[in-house]
Amino acid sequence: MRFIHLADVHLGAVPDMGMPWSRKREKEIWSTFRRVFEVIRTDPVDLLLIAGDLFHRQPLMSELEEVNALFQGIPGTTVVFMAGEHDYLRADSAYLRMKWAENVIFLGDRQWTCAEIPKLNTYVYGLSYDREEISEFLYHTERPVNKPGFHVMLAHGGDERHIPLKPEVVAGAGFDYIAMGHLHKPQILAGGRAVYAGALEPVDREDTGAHGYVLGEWKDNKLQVTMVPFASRSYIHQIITVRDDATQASLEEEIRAVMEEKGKENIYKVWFRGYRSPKLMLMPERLESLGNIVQVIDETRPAYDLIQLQKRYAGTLIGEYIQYFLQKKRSPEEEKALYYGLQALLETRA
Amino acid sequence: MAFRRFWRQEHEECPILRQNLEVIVQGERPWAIAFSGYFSAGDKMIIRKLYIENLGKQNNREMVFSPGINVLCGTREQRTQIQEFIRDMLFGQGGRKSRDHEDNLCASQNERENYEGELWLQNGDKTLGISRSFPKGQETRKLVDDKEKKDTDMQRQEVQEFLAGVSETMYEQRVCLSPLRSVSGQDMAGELQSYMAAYEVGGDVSININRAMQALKMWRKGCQEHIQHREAAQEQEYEWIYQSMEQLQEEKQKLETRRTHALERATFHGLRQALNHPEEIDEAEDGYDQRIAEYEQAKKMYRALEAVTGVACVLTLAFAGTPWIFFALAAGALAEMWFMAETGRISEEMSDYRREKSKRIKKQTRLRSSLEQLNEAVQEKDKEIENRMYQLGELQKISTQEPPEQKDINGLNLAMNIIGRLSYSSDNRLDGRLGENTSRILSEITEGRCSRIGLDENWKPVVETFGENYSLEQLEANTLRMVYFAFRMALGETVPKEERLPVILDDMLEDYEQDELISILRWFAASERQVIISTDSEREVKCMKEMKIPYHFIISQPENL
Repeated sequence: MRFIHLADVHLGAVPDMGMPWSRKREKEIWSTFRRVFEVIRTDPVDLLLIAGDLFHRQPLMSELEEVNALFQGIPGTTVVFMAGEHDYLRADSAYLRMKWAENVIFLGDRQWTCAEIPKLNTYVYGLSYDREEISEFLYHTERPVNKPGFHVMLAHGGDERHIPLKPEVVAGAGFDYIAMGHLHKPQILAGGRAVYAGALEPVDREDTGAHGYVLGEWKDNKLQVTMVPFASRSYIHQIITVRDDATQASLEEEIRAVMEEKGKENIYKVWFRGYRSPKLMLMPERLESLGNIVQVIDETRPAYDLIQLQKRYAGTLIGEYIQYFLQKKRSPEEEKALYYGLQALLETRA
Repeated sequence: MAFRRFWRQEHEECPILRQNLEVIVQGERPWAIAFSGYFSAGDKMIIRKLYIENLGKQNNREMVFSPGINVLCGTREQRTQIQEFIRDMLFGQGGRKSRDHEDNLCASQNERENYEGELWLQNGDKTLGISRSFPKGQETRKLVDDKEKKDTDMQRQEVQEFLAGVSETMYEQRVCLSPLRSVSGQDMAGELQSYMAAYEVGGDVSININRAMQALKMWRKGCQEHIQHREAAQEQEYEWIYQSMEQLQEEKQKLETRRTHALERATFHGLRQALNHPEEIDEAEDGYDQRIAEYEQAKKMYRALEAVTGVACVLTLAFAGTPWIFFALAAGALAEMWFMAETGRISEEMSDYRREKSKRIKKQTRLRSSLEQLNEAVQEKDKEIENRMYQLGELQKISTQEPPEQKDINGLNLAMNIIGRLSYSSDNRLDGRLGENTSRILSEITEGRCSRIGLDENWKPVVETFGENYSLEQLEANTLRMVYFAFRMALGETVPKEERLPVILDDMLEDYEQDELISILRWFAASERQVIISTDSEREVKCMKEMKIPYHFIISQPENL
C-alpha cells in the first residue's frame, strides 16, 4: 500500500509580508499543493494523509470547495486529513458545513477517532484541534485497535502548547506509522516510524532546507518512507566571509555568484562575517536589491588592531576611547559602538 | 674619568664634535656647567645615537647626539628620512601607510622598507638600545647598564615603560614640532585656535571631534533610512490590507442590503414567517391542500347532485304526464346548466389555487434559497474580513519587532555619548594645567610681555599682554608664533610620569624674528630637555655661536660638508 504524507500546507499564508515576492509566494503555496495532485494522477497512491494546518487560518467555504474538487480529482486515492491549530474547528468553521467527496475522510471530531478503510486494510486514527492551544498529552494514551492491518496515527503537535508528545512513546504504542505535522522542518524519528513531513512549502525565513512530502510504502508488514523535495523554492542561509581587501562591488559579485549557483529563485538570508577594511561601509540596501534577499546581517568588524591602536594613541581621546571598551565585557551594541566610534575618530583625523 | 672616556669615544666617532668641544672648553665657567651637563642625561630621556644601514643614501651611518641642543643640518629629504627612522625605531613601521602624506619626501618604498638600524636612548643612568630591520620585522631590544657593563634583553612592555608610556601619537604631538602652516596673522590665529581646540577635546590636535560626530550621525541616518525604506514597504502592505478590508466591507454591506430587500419582499408577500419557520410553509401548503380538497369535495357534491337531478328527470320523463315532462326537462336543463357552471367555476378556482400554491411555494423556496445564499455569502465575507485582520495581526507582529538596524543605531548613539564624555578633560584645557604651563613658558620666552593665556567667557583663548587681554585675532603674527611655541612646549610637559622628553623641531624656527629666535634658543639652553633643531639654514647655528650657547652639530649627509 503506497501513501503520501504531507502537512502544514498553510494555504492562504502570505510569507515575508512587505517583500516584493510575498504575493507570489502566496500563490505558489496553492500551486505546489495542486501539483501534488498532478503527481498522484500520474503515479497514483492509495492513501493521502494531511497531518493538519492545511489552511493558515479559518478556511472559506469557497476554498474548501476548491480543495474538495482536487480531492475529487483523485477518486482512486483515499484522502484522510485533520484540522490543526491554525485552521482549528471553531463553531462557525466551514469544515463543519462542508460535504466532502466520497474518497475523503475528514477526522473532524475533537475526540479521538478511528477511520477504517476496508479496501486498504488500513486504520487511520486522529482528532482535530478545536482551539488554538492544547497542552494535554492527548496522543500518549491512545492505542490502535486489536485488528490486523496498517495502523496510522495522524498527529499534529509536539511542543508544550500544541499537544505535546514524545515520538518514541507514541511509536511504542503499537502504531505502524505516525504521520506528524506542526514542525516545519522535515524529520524522521523513532527509527522511521514517526515522521514530520515538514511544511510542503517553506513559509518562514527560518524554514531552511528541502521541503516537500513523504512517500511511503507498507508492504509485507514493512514500512519504507522517503522524503521527496517538492517545494518551488527554498530559504537559504548563506555566510560570506569578508576579507580586508573586499569592496562593496566584490561582495555584490560574490552574492550574485552564490545565487547563480544555488538558484536565483530561492530566498536568501545573508551573514557577512570577518574583518573588513575600515574604509568599507557595507550598504545592506544595495545588497538586498540583488535578488530575493530577505535579510542582510553585517557581523563584520573593521580590521583594526585594537591593542596596537590603543598603544599608539595612548594619552589621546582615541586611546582613551579604545581603553574604555577594552576594559569591559562588551555587549553586541557596545561592540558596535567601539568600532563605529573608532572608525569615525580615525577617518576624520586631520 | 668616565666622562673623558666618553668624550674620547664621541670624539673618535665625530670629528665635528671635537671642534665644538674645544670652543666650549675654552669658554667661561657657566658653559663648563653646561658642558658637564652636556654629557650627562640627568633624569631626562635623550636620544644618544643612531645607526642607519641601507636607508636611501644613508648607509653605515652613525650619528651621535648630545643631551642638550643639537642641530641636524641637511636637505629636507635627508632630515625627514632621519626623523622617520627615529620614529620607526621607536614604534615600528606598522602605521607607516597611515602616516604617509602625499608630499612624502622620503626614499622610495623599497628603499625605506629594506633597511635596518639601531637607536640608543638614555634615561637617567639606563641606556636602551633598539635594533630593527624592515620588512623582515626582526627586532631586538637591549637594556645596557653602563656601570655593570652588561646588557639584558627587554620585552616590548618594558620598552614602553622605558619610554614612560609615550605612545606614537604622543610622540608626534609632543616630541616632533612643525610650524603653523598659515602665513597671514588672521589665518594663523584661526589655525592656532583650531589647534588648541582640537587638543582640548581630543588630546590630539589631529582629532576633529565635530567631524567624527558628523560621520556618526551620517551613518545613523543611513540606518534610519534603511528602516524607513522597510517601513514604507510594510506600509504598502498595510494599505493593501486596509483597502482589501474596505472592499470586503462594502461587498458585505451590499450583500446585507440584498438580504434586507429579500426579507422585505418576503414580508410583502406574507412569507416572512414562513421563511423563518419552515413548518409554516407546510401549514400554508396544508391550507392550500385543504382548500383544494374542499373544492374537490364541492365538485363531487355537485356531480352527485347532477346525477340525482338527472335520475329525477329520467324518472319524471318515464313515469310522469306530458306537462311534467316539459317541466322536468326544463328543470333538468336548468339544473344541468347550473351544475356545469358551478363545476366549471370550482374547477377553475381549483386550478387557480393550485397555480397559486405552486407559485407561492416556488417563491418561498426561491427566497429561502436566496436568503441562505446571502447568509452564507455574508458569513464568508465576515470570515474573509477576519482573515484579513489575522493577516494584519501578523504584519503588526513583524512591524513591532525591533529592526536589525536598531543595534547599529544604538551602537552609534553610544559611540557619540562616550566620545562626548571622554572629550572633556580639565588637564587638556587652557583653564587647567596645560594653560598654566603654557602661560609660564610664554612669559619666559617673551620676558614677561605676554604673561598669561586663558579662556574668555565664550571659551575662546585670550592672551594677557601688558596687563590687557587680547583674543588671538588681535595678536600679531610674531606673538602668535610665540604663543604656538609655548603651547607646544607645554604639551610636551603633559606626558605620563612627567618625563622630560626630547623635542625635535622640524623647520620650526625659520619664520621667527631674530629677537624671538634668540629668546627661544636661550630658553632651550636653560631648559632640561634635549633639543634637535632640524634645519637647512645656518641661522640658528650663527645665533648660538654669537650667544655662546653650546650645541652639537650633525650633518645628515657627510658629503654635504
